Amino acid sequence: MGTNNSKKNFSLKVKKWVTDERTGALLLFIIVCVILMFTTDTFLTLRNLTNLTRYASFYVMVGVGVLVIFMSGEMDLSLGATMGMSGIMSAMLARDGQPLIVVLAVGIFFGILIGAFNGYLVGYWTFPAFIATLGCKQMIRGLITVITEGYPINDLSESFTYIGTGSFLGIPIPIYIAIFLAVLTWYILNKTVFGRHVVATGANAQAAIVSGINTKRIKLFSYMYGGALAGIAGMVLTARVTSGQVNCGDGFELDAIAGAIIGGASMEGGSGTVIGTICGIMVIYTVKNGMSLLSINAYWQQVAQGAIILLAIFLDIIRKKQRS
Amino acid sequence: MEKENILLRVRNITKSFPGVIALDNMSLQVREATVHVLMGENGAGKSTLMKILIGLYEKDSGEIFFDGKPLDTSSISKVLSQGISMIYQELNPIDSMTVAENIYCGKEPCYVKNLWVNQKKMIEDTARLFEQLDVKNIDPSRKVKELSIAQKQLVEIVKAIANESKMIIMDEPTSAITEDECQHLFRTIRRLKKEGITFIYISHKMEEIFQIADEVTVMRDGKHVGTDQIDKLSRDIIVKMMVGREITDVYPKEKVAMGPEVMAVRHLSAKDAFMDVNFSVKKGEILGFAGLMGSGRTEVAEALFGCRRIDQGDIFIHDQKVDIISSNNAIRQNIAFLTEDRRKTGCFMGLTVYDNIMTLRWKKHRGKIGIKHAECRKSCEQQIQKFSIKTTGMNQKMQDLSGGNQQKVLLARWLLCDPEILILDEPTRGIDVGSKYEIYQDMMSLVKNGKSIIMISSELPEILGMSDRILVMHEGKVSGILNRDEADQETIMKLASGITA
Repeated sequence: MGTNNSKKNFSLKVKKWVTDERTGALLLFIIVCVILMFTTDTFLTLRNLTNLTRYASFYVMVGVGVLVIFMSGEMDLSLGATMGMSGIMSAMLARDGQPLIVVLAVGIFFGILIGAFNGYLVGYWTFPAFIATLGCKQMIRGLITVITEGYPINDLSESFTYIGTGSFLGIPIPIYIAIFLAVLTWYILNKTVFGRHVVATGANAQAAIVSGINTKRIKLFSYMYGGALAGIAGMVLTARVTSGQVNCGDGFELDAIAGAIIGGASMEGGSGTVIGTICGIMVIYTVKNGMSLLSINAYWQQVAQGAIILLAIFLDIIRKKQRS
Repeated sequence: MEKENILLRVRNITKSFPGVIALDNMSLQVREATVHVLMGENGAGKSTLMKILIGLYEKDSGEIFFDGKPLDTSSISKVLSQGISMIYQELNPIDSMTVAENIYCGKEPCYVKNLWVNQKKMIEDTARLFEQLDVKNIDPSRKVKELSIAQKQLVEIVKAIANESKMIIMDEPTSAITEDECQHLFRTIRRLKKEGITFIYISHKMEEIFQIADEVTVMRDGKHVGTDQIDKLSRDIIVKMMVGREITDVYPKEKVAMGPEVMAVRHLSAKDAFMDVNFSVKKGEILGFAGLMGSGRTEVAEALFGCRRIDQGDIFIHDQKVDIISSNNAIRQNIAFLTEDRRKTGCFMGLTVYDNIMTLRWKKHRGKIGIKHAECRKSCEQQIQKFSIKTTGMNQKMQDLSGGNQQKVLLARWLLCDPEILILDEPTRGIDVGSKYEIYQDMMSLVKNGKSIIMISSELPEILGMSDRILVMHEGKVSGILNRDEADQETIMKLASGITA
C-alpha cells in the first residue's frame, strides 16, 4: 500500500513537472542535452554550442515578441514575413551606405508598421487573428518579391553586417541582442503598467474592459511590439548572412510559436513566461542541432520539426485540462 | 428627508437595440449614502440601465447627472474615475493574477509612472484596505483562483473602494453565496454606507431587500414604475409593481396522475463535481433540482446526458441499467436536455428558426437524394404553431427572436424527438413573465402526456410552484429530497446552504 502510494505520488510529481509551465521546458531541454551528450562527441564542443546558441538567438528575438502577443490573447503568423520585410529594407539601405542608425531605425519602423496593421485589424476591427495575420503574411511576402524582383541584395556595409557576424568577448553579437530583448520583454510584461494590462487582457478580456483598460489599444500595442522585435530579428539575420534574402525569416513564426507554447505560454492568453519561452526555443533548436550532428536526413528532420509543433500543442491541451 | 443630497439623477434615458426598446424614457434618482434597490423582472431593463451608467453601452437619448455634474459615460475608465464602480453578477476576476493585482488592475501604483509598477505598495495598500474593511483571511499576494466565490466578491468590493468610488452598483451579489456570507456582505455594505458611500443594489430576493434597502425603485418593460422608501412598501406591493397586474396564479400547476418509475439514479459520482447522488423520477412527475450556483446540479444533468464522465454509480431507465457515455446514447434513451445557457449551448444564433428546430431531425427526413425539405418544413410549421412561437416565419434568424421565443424553439426542437425524460436547466432564465407562463403551461401539458421532467432552477418560487418533489443539492451532495407539501423557501435555503437544523 505504502509503496504503491509513493509510486503514484512520484508519477504524479513527474507529470506535474513535465506539464508545469515553469519547469516543463527546462526539464525537456536538459533531457535533450543529456541524450546528445551521450550519443554524439561534438555536441559539447564550444564551437557547436556557440553555433547552436547563435542560431537559436534569432528565434528568441521573435519568440519573446510572440509571447507578448500570446499574452494579450492573440497570435501572429506574419512575424516571419515581417522579418523578411525589415531585412530587405535594411539591406537596401545598408547597400547604399546609409549610417547604421538610419538602417536600424527604418528596419524597426517597418516591423512596427506591420504590427500596427495587424493590431488594428485584430484589436479594433475584431478580425480573427489567424486569418488577418495569414493574409498579412501573404501580402508582405508578395511585396518583398515586388520590391526585390526576386534577387538577393548583396554588398552590405560592414558596420551593418557586424551586428550579425561580429562578436564581443568571444560571444556573437546576436546573442547579446537576444538576451537584451528577452530581459526587456520580461521587464515590460512584469513591471510596466502596459505589461500588466497585456496580461489582464489575455487572462480575462471582460474583466480588463470593466477595469477601464482599453483592450483594443493593448492588443494594437502588443502587435506593434511583436512586429518591432521581428523587425530587429530580420535585420540581425540579414546581417548574419550578409545578404538581403527574399525568403528571410520564412517559417520563423511557427518555430517561435511552438517554442513559446512548449515554454508554457497559452494560446488563450494570460499565461507564459520569458524564461519558459527561451527554454522552449532551446529545446527545438537543440533537437534540430542534434539531428544534424547525428546526420539524420534532412527530410526526416522536417518530419521531426512538424512533430515538435504538434507536441507543443498537445502540451497546451494537457495544461488546459489540468487547469479546469 | 429633503436635506439629503441626490447623488445620481438619471433623466429620460432611452435605449433601443435592434427589435427591442430596452429603456423607454427611464428616470431614476439616488440619494447620497443610501442603498437604493432596483427591482424588476428579467428583461425589465435594469442591467441595460446600469451598463449605460458604467459606460459599457451608449444611450440613445437622455441625461445623467452625478454629484451635481453631467456624467461622462464615453468610456468605462472615465466613469470609474468619476467615482462609479460596478460589481457584476458574473464576477470578473483575473484568476491568474494576485488579489492585489486584481484590486489595482487599471490603476497600478508605480515607482516611475507607467514604467515601473510598485508591487510592494500594491500589496501593502491592499492589506491596509482589508484592515479598514474588516476583511479577514485573504492574503493580498494570493492568486485569485484560490478564493471562494464570496471572497472573490469581497475582492471586487475592495476594488471599488480602492477606486475611491462614491457609488457602487451591485448586480445580484447574493445569487451565489451562502446565508452567512450574505450577512457579512450586508455588514460591509452598512459600514460603507456610514462612510458616505452610495449603493445601487439589483436584486430579485424579497427577503434581502427588506434587510438592506433604504429606497426601492421598480422597473418594468424599460420604464420607471415607482420609487418609494422601504418602510412604505410591502412584498405584495412590490410584486404588483413588478408584474403590472395582480398575480394570483403564477404557476399553472395541476395534479397529474403519476405512473411507474422512469429513471433511477444510484450512487452517482463524478470527480470534482458531485458525490453519491441518488434519486428517481416517475412518469408524469416534475422533479425540481434546487441549490446554489456551483452546488453540482448542472453537473448531474450533464452526467445524465452523457456530457460528463461518471466515475461511479448507475443509471436505470425502466429498471434497466443503461450506459450513457455520450449525448447520442442519451438521446437514444429518449432523454432531452435543455441547457442553462441558451446562447452558448442551445441556439445557433446565426441560423434560421427552421435550422434550429430541425437540428436533431435531419437524419429522420433523409431521402434518396438528400434531405426532404418539404417534409421538414411541414413538421417545423407544426412545432411553431404548437408552441405558439412568435416569429416572422421559419426563415427568421434565431438571434432576432426574444429570449422567451428562443427558449420555445429549443423546446420545440427537443420535442420533435418525442423524449420521455426532459432535463430542463433554468428553463425560464432571462425571459419575460408572459413567456415564462407559457413555458410552465408547456411543461404541464408534457407531464399530462406522460413525460417526466427534471427541472433545475435557481428561482425558488418556480421550484416550489412547479415541482412535485424537490431535490436540494449542497456542495456536490444531495442534502435532501422534499415532497411538495413539506417544502418551503426556508427549508430549501437551509438545505442548499448546508445548515443542518
